[in-house]
Amino acid sequence: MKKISILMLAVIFVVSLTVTVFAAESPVTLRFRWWGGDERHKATLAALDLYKEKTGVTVEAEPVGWDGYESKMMTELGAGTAPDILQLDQPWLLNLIQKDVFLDLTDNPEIDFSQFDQEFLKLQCVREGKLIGLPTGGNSFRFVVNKNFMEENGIDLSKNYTWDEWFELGKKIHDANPDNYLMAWDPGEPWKFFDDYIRDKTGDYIIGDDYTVHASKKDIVEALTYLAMMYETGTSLPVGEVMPFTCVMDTNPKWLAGEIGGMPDSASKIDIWVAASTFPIWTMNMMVPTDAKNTGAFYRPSQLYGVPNSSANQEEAIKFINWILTDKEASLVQGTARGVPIAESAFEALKKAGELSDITVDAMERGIANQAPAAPAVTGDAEIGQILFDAFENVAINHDVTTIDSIADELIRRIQTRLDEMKG
Amino acid sequence: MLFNRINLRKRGRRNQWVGYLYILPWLIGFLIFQAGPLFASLYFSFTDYSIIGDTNFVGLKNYLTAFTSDVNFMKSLRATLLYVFGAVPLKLSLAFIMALILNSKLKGIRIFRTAYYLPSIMGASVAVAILWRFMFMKSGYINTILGFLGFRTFDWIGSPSTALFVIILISVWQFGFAMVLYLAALKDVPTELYESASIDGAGPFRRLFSITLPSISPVIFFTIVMQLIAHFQDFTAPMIVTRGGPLKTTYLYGLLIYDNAFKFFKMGYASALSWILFIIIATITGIIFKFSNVLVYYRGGSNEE
Repeated sequence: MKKISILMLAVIFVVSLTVTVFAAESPVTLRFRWWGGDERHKATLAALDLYKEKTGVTVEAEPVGWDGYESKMMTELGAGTAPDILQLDQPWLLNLIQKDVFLDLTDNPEIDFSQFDQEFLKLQCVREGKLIGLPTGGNSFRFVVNKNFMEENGIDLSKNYTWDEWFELGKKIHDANPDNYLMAWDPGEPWKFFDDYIRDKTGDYIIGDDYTVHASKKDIVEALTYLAMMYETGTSLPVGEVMPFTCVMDTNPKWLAGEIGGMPDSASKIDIWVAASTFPIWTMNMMVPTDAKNTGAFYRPSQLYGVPNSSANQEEAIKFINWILTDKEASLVQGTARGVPIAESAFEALKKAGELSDITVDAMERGIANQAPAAPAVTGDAEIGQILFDAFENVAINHDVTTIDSIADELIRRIQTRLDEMKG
Repeated sequence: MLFNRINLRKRGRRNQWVGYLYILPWLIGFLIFQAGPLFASLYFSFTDYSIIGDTNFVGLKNYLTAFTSDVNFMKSLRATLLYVFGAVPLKLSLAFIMALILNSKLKGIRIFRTAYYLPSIMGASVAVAILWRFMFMKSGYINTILGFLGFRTFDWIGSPSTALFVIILISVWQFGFAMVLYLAALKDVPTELYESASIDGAGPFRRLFSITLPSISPVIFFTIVMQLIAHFQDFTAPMIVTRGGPLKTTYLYGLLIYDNAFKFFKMGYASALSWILFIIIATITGIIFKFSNVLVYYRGGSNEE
């Protein structure tokens, strides 16, 4: 008797629990995850509130930091539990498209394609014929400078310096005062030095989307030699002193003390530099090799928004992406939290409202006018990044020109092995 | 009579099943969260699993790649072995010496014991690692103090020749836990042994090597084995302080596995690396156990004459 009543109670308990869970019906709710700092989180949340007001659709925000974003996303995509809208980084596109986990947005009726530059989409966002992400804003690579330092040392901010000229200046400055350095290079994206050097010198990138190494050994050796000189001449702060401040050089004591002239960084991060520094900030064009075939700096989407295949609310998600990227009010509310907007209407709205700071507009306009050819999709591969970093580190720490030949050989061999692996 | 015996046997078998029922929650947890993933990783080590996309069986390819074409594997193994066989002896020697010193009955000795034990409680945390990074960088406190005292300064974590030393130091700094174990063991050594030894004219070093060390050898053995196993898997310090650099001199094995799993998404390869590490640790532990027959003295055991 006792056993039966206990059993009955258990059954009733389980049934009522199940009923309660399934009874909770909710209207369409989208999950949206992005990475960024507090400024971007605040701006985006304001846009989400605006969207709720206008359409009644609730967008659950998942603002997170950059660290661990990719691995969390990949794990969730594997399990099918990813959010409805994800912020993506351009280097990930090729891999994600090959794994076929995101919706192809090509010709999607919910998107106002007239707002986006077709050339830009084709070169920077489409991979293997598929478009899985719409660009949020544009970002150009600039050389961020301490205006006072540069003026004191007679550097012309409007000039396009060659590396030879630059190292001469760097040596002079460092010899005069050993605490001062004309520049510092953040190891966060270190390959940019000789990857860009080769692109600028030859007009083509070190590797291509045909999975081969395009650069000749001679060019690679030259690029590595210039890299060694950057440290040998005392132009750049030694790599060991930059490493503890990877990606946060704006907190480096030497920078704050005004002992460093400038650093390469994306235009979208200018506001961070301005906020951190007590001296005025400006930007100049990056340095180039002598007789460069290309003098433009890279210009690429800051981030992109995509919708995973696993999303249960695909149409609503795409509608949301279109709104947040092209709607004038959305643009005003978000400002330049993700760089200068790519979508025409959004950009015009900000410009008209005077929301773009002088330095940002200058940086972007010169960046857009001075664009390098789009980087091949394969450059985004994490392992290739690691291989290039290893070569960079080797040269940056030892700056021993006698080892450069073998470093170049190893670099070519390792990259080709990885490219073969990616192709297969 | 027979009837009773059959009844007892039946009840015995039922008791056995009740036992399993009681541990069922733990058993389920163990199978799902420990045994399951363990065997899954063994399976994945023979595939090219990468979370999303197809998984293909590749046989021993991952294991061969590690030993033949992965340049970082050898560098990482070298760094890890240097780290383990540098840190563990240093750490345990320091712990033992401190235990000897702190074994006295002075007033306030407890405060010292607590103070030396504290680092091992909080030492492995991310916050402490970040602190160490700032202490040992070129413009950090250590160099400030050294400069003040007139010594030469180094870029401790930015230079390939000194970075591993910093990582070893973080581990050695956490000797407190081993020290406490040795203290307890030292208190257990029968004092008559020391008395009779000094009557026979044994000096302090003779007493140390002939009485103290053999008596606490089981505890030393235990700490060696446990510390070796732990150090092979150390991750937080190299990850936060130097991120494996410079030039992979602090690229410990844990980092190698992490990068391959969560940066390159080569889960199959990372699983193979994990099993290689398992084999290495098991082999070394096995060797130590073999030696223990000679080196470890168990009181009341078969060694007693």
